[in-house]
Amino acid sequence: MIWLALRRHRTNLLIVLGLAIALGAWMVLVVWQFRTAPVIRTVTIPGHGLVKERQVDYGPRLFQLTWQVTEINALLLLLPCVAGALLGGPLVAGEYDDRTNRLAWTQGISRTRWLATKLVVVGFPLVLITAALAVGTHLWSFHVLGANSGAFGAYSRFNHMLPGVFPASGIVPVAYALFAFALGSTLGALLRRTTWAIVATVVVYGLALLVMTTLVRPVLAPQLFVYGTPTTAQQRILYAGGNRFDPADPVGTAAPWAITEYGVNVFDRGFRPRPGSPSPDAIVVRCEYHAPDVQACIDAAHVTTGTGYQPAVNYWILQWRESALYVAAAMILIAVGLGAVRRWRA
Amino acid sequence: MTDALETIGLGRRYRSTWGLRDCSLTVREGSVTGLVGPNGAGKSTLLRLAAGLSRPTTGSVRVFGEEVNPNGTAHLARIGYFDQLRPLYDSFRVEEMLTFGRKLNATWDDEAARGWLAEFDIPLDRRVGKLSLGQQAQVALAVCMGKRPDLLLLDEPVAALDPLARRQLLQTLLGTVAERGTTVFLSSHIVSELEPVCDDLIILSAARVQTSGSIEGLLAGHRVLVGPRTEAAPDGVDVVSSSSTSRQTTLLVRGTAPEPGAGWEVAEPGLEEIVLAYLANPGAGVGTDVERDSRPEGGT
Repeated sequence: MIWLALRRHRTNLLIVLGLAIALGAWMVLVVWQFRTAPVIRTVTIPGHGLVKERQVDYGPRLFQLTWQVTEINALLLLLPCVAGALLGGPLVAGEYDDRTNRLAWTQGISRTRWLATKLVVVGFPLVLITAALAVGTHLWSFHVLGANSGAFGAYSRFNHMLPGVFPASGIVPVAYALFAFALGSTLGALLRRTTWAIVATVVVYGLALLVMTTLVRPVLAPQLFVYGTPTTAQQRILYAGGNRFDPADPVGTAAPWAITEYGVNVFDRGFRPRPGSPSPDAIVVRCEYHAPDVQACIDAAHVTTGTGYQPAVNYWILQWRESALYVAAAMILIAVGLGAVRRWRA
Repeated sequence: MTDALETIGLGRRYRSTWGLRDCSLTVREGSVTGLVGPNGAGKSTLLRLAAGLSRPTTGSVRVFGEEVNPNGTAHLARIGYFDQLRPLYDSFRVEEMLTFGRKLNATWDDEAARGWLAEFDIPLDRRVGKLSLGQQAQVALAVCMGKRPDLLLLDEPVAALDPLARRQLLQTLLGTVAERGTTVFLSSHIVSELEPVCDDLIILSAARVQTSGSIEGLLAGHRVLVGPRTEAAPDGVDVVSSSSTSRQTTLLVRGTAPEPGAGWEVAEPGLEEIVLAYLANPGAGVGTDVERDSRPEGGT
């Protein structure tokens, strides 16, 4: 059965492997371009010493490093979904399409073993490929954006906590790929058409990512809350894209820290009580309706505005928890798919 | 003696329509049993249920006395199933289809499968998708043969073949199964093809079994009556079908010695005539059995 699963799905596995290798090659190329880019000046960055600031936006737009990094990031976002749908969609639905399930299910093995073997034989290489790419991405991001972020990050705006970068970095891409794969195979078992399975996988995957980004991730780890508006200094740091955090300064008062005006990690802008004061909502409402000077009324009640956010120090906690959620969802989907294959007619 | 296949009150519903209804039949071990019926009669549904590809809505299906469990493996080792659509992995080479059979079956007779392919000159290195429909059917049958099944379930095995290849296939099939005592249950809508190879016949129409029995029994148990044109059939005969011209009426009746009275001629019908009579009248004889002979000698 292992032989059959590999033989049947080897083309799509090779396509996914090819995509990952191509993306990896592009990353290496960017690192090489960055290292050979003209030096503008040498600056001192605290903690890093002397850093050569390089010109990354020279030449035609297509060859600008900022542009290339943005494109690579976009492809990294797409890859788990594409790979998962490409391998998961046809896994069961492709057999229904060709009616080859009738051939396989009348040989000597049970349907459960048939699907379980396919899931493992195709899913395991997918996890390996995406895991290798995740390690590569991690190393790459520090090469390109890390130690030199003072110079490069100023142009790139890259920050590991941004909603567009967080899902392309760390370990979550592996969990996303596994989720998309399970989603594709189960939707295929339910819909029985490869095309529909792939389309439905992409749609559901997108919705899941949206829900995760806007509703789940903000509360997946304890937030920090900054009273008042971020200072100019803080804003400069956040726009400079602090993709590194300093474990010695987890709240990020001094070193680059992840707080951004446009990122997912900024949410819940609103009223919070100062420590020790009662629930702010009633006070705010009362002030808004009755006080001539609303702000003075709120200040007098010791309530202040501020910004809640996930600091960069929570990066790995968020990565692990989000991955766990996706893997759990994948397991549930696989159970549903196995049930459908066991119960339903050929 | 257990039957190779036994169904009791077997039914399968697809949403609002029944694909097969209240089907009770047996296929004797060692027999070659034909399943005839028009398109959409439920032949494929019955064979899929027997192969465990579909779950019964009502009733049960047993293979060699064991209930078929669609997710189990007990029945799988004993059956060889040939689907009407001849599904194969189009991108595989013929050789790889044999590897497929070997890897997915605990017992595999490579020689039997290769022998079958050699018999029909199927090139082993050709991709399955590039073969003709007839050749694909042979590859699918070769996989069935390699399983060394006790019960072959063949859904329209000769449909894609030209008349010469049909005869060759049926002859080879009979030769092979006679050696091993394999039970064969095959469907077709061409009666003339089944007659020379089958011991028993089951007539299925409009999702129900109309009649079943040995071919000899069917032939011996029906008579054709030809007489003057009349609206009412003579008393005491069990009419399966009737047709009239302006001058005379022809009846196909059940029973060996009808006594229709004066003016009627009694003749022996052909098998095709009997089958067509039943198919033309889906209500006739539902659920009736013609007595069967004792177990046939191998290789008949």
